[in-house]
Amino acid sequence: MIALWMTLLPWIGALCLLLFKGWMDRFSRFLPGLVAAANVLLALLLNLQGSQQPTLVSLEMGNWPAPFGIQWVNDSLSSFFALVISLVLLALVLSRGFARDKEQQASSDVYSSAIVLILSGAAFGLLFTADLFNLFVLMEIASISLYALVARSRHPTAPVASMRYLLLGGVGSALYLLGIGVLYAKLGTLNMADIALKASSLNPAALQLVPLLLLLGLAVELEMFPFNAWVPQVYGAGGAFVPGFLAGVSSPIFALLLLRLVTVVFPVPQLRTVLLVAGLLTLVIGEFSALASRRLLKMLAFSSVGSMGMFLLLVSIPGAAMLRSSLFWLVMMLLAKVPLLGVAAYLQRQFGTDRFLELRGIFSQEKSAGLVFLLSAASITGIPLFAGFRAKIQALVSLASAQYWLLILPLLVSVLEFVYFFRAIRWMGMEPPESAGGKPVLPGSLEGFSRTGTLFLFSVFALLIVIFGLFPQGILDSIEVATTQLFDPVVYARAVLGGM
Amino acid sequence: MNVYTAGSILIFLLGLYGLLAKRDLFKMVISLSVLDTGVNLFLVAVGYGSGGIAPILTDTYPLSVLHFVDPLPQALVLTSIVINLGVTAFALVLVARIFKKHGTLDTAKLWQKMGGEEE
Repeated sequence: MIALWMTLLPWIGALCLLLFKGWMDRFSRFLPGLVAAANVLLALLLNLQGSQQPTLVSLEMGNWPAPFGIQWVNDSLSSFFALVISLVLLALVLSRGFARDKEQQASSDVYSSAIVLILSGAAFGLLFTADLFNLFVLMEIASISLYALVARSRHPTAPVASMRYLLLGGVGSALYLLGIGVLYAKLGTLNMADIALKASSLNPAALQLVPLLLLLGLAVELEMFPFNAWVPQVYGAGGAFVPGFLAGVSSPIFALLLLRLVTVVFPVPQLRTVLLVAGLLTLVIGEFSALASRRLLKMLAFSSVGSMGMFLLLVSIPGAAMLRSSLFWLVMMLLAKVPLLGVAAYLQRQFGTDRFLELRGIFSQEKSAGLVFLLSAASITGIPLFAGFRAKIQALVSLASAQYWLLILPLLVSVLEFVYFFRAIRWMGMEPPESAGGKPVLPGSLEGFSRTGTLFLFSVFALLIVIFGLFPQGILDSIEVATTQLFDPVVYARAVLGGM
Repeated sequence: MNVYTAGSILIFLLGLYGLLAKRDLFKMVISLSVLDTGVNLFLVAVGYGSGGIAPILTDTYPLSVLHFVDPLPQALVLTSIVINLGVTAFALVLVARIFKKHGTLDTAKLWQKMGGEEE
């Protein structure tokens, strides 16, 4: 039941905000933060339950037995990521609260707060659902909320960025739905566990077509090439919430869904070949574009595309070792990306720009932001002793153990990554400061409590990177348990479908 | 493949063509809508059985489950139609906003304009 409440609580919150708009104006400030904090507690509870008896818990909606009703499944993988994601969401919601424009009308903030709540509810639903159509509905709820949030940003390019995202997302979801149609026509079921058991009875053509269509449906949110044309503009439109949400919540969740699809539902070799090619292309194009970027947010957006490329590459190779590396990679990248994007959004807010040219020497004024950026960049580029280092080494070792040639491109782009992050630090940290500042995107910079609060939030993440770099065992253990469960699809199927 | 399935795929491809070939945002939104309609028709075609009746238990057809068309795809399509309505409405509002702000809906001009503001 806890899993269900993690989605229901934000949705009830959103409903209250919208229904009692006049009364709730003053609460709209605190409600998302309160709900996010409650969700962290629920996620902790979920993990405590799981640590006592590491079993799968299946929830039947409306008492309809599987595979007829919609199922939500809480296994070690989803409960561990529920905790990580609830923490990221709490940080993002708080930083959004701090970045709130004082002159902005409270009534307009109610809508944004409600959208944020709807989005968080859908994010948790996506973690737990075991039904492909339910997944589609949650995916649509999440993406429409994201389009709306992007469009509400005050950046001049925001509406066009949102439109681009909507058109690509629309095609993606249509392809996904088409995949569902073919699958239902052939198998008569949409329950992931039930499909896992019956997939072998599909004819070879359908067995290739269906996973491909589903993958293309997820590709937009996975930032996979060539479905990632929206990424630079949407991240570039900035704001305290959206870029962090995309890199820290949405792409990890879709990555997990892909993992389930590849390991449990459709363990088809052809799908892995597609992932291999797409992963390599995404990795190389993302990292090269990041190198060419002259804007901080854009650089981080492309770097995020690059890390998703690396993830796709890892998932494309079968085996438990690879699964462990990919999950560890996901967590470490997420931990570094959230503070990096947080600092970028903060700088954009304070100085009205995220162009490197205008941000020269900015860290001599903004020392704590500079420190957070330095620590997170050290982690993401894989400097030893930082959290990202272990993830990178583990990923490279597992790639090498599969095929030596697979190492070439990841090693090359690791160098690139180091170059562009170092260059950014040199520009913003070591060059003499120029008279900074362009045209402010939002009126009024952050002062006092809001400024300290924002910087404190992301300092916590930077601290986590250092701590997990030195003591990663806790995360590695959780990932180990999750991997073992993922590799036993029969146990999963039995938990979902009942005594079979 | 029956005529309904083939027709639905044709509509889907028509929408896809519109999305790829048109440069006007408004036409692209309409193409997206056409594409979604194709998918919806495909889902309905999946559940259709020749000579099937509505899946409602009545006195005339008590327990004649075998004559029913599959109700699940219809439930899926209903959900999908509602979602598409939301997306299309939102997209049209966005189109109006973009036109108000930039004075054009030509994607080539818009992307170019955005590139100018980006760098």
